[in-house]
Amino acid sequence: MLKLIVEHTYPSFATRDSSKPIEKRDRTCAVARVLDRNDTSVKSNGMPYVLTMVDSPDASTLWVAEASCFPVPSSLGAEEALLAVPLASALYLWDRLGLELGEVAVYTEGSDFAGLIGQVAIWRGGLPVIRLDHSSVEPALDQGECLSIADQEEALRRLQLRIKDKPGVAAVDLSGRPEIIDLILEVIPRWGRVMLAGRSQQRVTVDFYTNVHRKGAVLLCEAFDPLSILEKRERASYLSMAFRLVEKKDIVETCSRLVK
Amino acid sequence: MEPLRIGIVGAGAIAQRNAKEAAASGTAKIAGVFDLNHKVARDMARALSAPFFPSYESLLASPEVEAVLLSVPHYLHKSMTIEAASHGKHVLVEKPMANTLDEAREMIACCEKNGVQLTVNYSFRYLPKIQKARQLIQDGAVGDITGIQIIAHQFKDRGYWSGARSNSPDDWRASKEKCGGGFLIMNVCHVIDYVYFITGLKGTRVYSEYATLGSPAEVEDIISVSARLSNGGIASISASSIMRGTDQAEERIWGTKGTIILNGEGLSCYSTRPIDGKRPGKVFHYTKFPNVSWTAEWVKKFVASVRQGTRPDISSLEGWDNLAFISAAYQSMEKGMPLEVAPFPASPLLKNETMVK
Amino acid sequence: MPDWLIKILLTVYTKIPPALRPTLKELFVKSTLRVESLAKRRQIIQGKRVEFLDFEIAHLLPYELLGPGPDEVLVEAECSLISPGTERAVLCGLPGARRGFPYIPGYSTAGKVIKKGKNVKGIEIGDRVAGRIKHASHETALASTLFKVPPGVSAEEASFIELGIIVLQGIRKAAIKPGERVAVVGQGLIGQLANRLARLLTPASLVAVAPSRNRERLAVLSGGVDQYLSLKENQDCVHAVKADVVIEAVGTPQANVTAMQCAREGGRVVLLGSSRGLTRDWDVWNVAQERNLTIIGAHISDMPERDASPQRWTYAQEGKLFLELVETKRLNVADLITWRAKPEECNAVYEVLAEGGRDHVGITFNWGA
Repeated sequence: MLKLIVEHTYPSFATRDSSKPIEKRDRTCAVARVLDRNDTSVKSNGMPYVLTMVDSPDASTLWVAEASCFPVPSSLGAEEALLAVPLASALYLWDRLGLELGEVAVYTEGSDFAGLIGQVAIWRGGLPVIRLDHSSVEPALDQGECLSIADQEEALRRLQLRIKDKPGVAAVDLSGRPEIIDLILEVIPRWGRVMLAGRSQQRVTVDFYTNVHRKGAVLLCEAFDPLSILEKRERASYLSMAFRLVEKKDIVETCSRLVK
Repeated sequence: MEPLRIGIVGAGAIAQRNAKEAAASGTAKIAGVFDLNHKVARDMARALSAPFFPSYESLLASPEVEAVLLSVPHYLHKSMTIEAASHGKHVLVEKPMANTLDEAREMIACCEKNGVQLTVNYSFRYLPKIQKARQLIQDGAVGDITGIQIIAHQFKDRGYWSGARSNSPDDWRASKEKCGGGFLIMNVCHVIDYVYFITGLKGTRVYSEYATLGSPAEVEDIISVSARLSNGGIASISASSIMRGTDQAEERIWGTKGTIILNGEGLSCYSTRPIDGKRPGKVFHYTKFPNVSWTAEWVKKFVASVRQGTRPDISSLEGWDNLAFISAAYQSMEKGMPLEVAPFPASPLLKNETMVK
Repeated sequence: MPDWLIKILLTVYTKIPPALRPTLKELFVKSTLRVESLAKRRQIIQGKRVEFLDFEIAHLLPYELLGPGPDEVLVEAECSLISPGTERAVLCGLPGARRGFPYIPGYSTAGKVIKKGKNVKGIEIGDRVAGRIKHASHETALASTLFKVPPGVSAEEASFIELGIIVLQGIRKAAIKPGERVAVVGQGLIGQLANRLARLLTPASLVAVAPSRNRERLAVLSGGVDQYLSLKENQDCVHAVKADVVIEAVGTPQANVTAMQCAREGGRVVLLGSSRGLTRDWDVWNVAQERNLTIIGAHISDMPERDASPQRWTYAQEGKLFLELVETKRLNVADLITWRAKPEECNAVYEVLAEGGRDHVGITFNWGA
């Protein structure tokens, strides 16, 4: 066990997610300093700070198993380190969907991290990267596109047109809303990959025969949680990638703008 | 008359027909389409140049929608009618009105309470052939009615029970809970309604035997009903959806002065009186009738009643009478004895409250 | 035939009294076939085939066909296998399978080449072949779409070709690893073939989940499953299955959800059965999202036309592999046949199939008998 003193947390991450069970709602991630028996700072794997999950944004000192701590490179500040967590989650998401250079990436409204998820699709080479959104005020990402779904019919038509002749499509639903899930399943072509990442509050009617079975589609059912990467087996590689990315000034700027 | 702005609920084959005819009636404007199967609802909305609504709630919330036309599985009639009425929307519901009389009572009470109109789609009444038969009987062609015979036999293939003809396949028709019954409540209900309409009579006491003998379903596919009529006459129904290769559909209404036969070829009438300018004592065949959209007529009449604040032509009263006969028929076999047909509740609101107590 | 001609013919056809139509239609078909035969210099062959005349009515009828075109061969059938799901769906007019009658069923047949077109290479007269051919005594097919049956593989075994390919592409997508727990939901022919092919990948356990025990006897034969669960006895047994991989092989909208319930957290569900119709009220969160399921669609039309990639082989590659598995005795399919019918018995065969097939799994028509 390591004794930690928490220096920074992201309370907003956890409190925003009302879909979680109450006991888990306050759970968030923190950047903490490692202390020795005499409460003096020591290094973990040569790093003075670690990332870890804490049960409450107000946590100050706590004992955590060493395996649950992830060392933060010394070149990074606490803010960058915290930013790396949702970034790593977004990297993981598109990796699960296997988004390739030049494939269509579709993502939707419905999460505070939607913008970041779209941005990561652009960084993975998605072309076009299309956001499905009800509001017309949401600015499209630089190099991204925004498609209004206020008129479902029109959205379906335009999306079909945009996807036509593209060799591959990967889509992530962050809304959990039946009509958006329906739109995505309807529009994906043969071999499309879809992640149902928005927690569904309602039951959904799906034509699995036409839209999954016959299209050979892959449907990943996994609600998106910006912090969950810290609890995944693959966290080391994704956090390392994210840390390397947030060392770049322009990327940090983009990420902090999109996550705010 | 200002067109009634109707939200279409359900986008199955019947709903598509209903919506098209409603629009063609010239008295209605399609103000939206909703179906759980979004794809078919979207396609239908596009075809009708109407907006698509992704949920029933969103359709009811639209101020553009004045009334809803429900073409959905029977077991949803009650809840969807009540929701619509509570939003102040008038309701056009497919036949049968509901699966049980309790459901029907709640629907009637809720519509009354919210001051909205309710009609049930027994629009076959508007077929010229049916109107003609009614006219002949009113003119005394058969005298006092003594007997009615309804014969309805056809074959429903296995696909029917799993909804294969629908664009949203579902097996609700095979379920007693969802459909309320089989061939009687699903199809013969139309015939019962127009025979009521033609004769002005009702069934007062019924006894039935029914079974499921050749279909992958819980509900009946063969039924025989004997009934006493309100004027003392006797009626019988023989119906099934398992007669292969030789469909049969005919109604005979006879009385002290003659007989009327309705079937696929038209209408035949024998009378001892010189009715309709014809020689008495001879069978006359009426085979040519103008093409009329019965659904459009139904919508047209309903819109008029909404705009003028009068009772709809086919109101909850007609819906109730039909369902009361069918319910009594089903229950009579279950109880092994003839049953009286429940009359229309004098005040559904009051009755409902009494029940709650 | 050009569209305008079809239109004119149809208009004429509707003007003819219904009673005369079948005779006139037969006459028309016969005479056009003769004209075509003369024009193309291809002989007219007499054969027999199974036809669906109406809902739940099958009958064996004589028919005529033209001899093979330049790229075709004429196959004399030895054995054809019924594809129970698809054929029953059409016969009964189930959702997603409404076809006009008469309808000619069948797509998995083995036989002998008795004539070949002038451009055909690699297949000789007398060769045994298998492929997508109807339930017919004689049928022409493009030589390039057929598989040569290796010696040691019987006609009965080879008649499983199309069904074998259908199941192989699904099993491939399931990417089963040795030591994984596998469940197969549905124990009709597709389900039982899935058992056998999954077994080749050394799962730690292989469980069959079926509506009833009707097909248990066959499912637990050598090469089949370790355990057989009947939903009729215990509807809740699905939650205890917790399989890493679930193969859905029933083909009803509800079975999709049953399959998901059989998967462990993080498990994979392959939708192999053709669940024509809508899955209503799918509780996405409780059934799938909370348990991080991956759902994979697997239909034969998902196979690439050419250029295979991992988990996506072409039709030709899967077909060749299927025959190789049978030839090398890695896969046994003959014991899945429960009814070896004469084509003349087709009316009774399809009567049973329409009612649900009783406890039958593989039904073949043996044309040589």
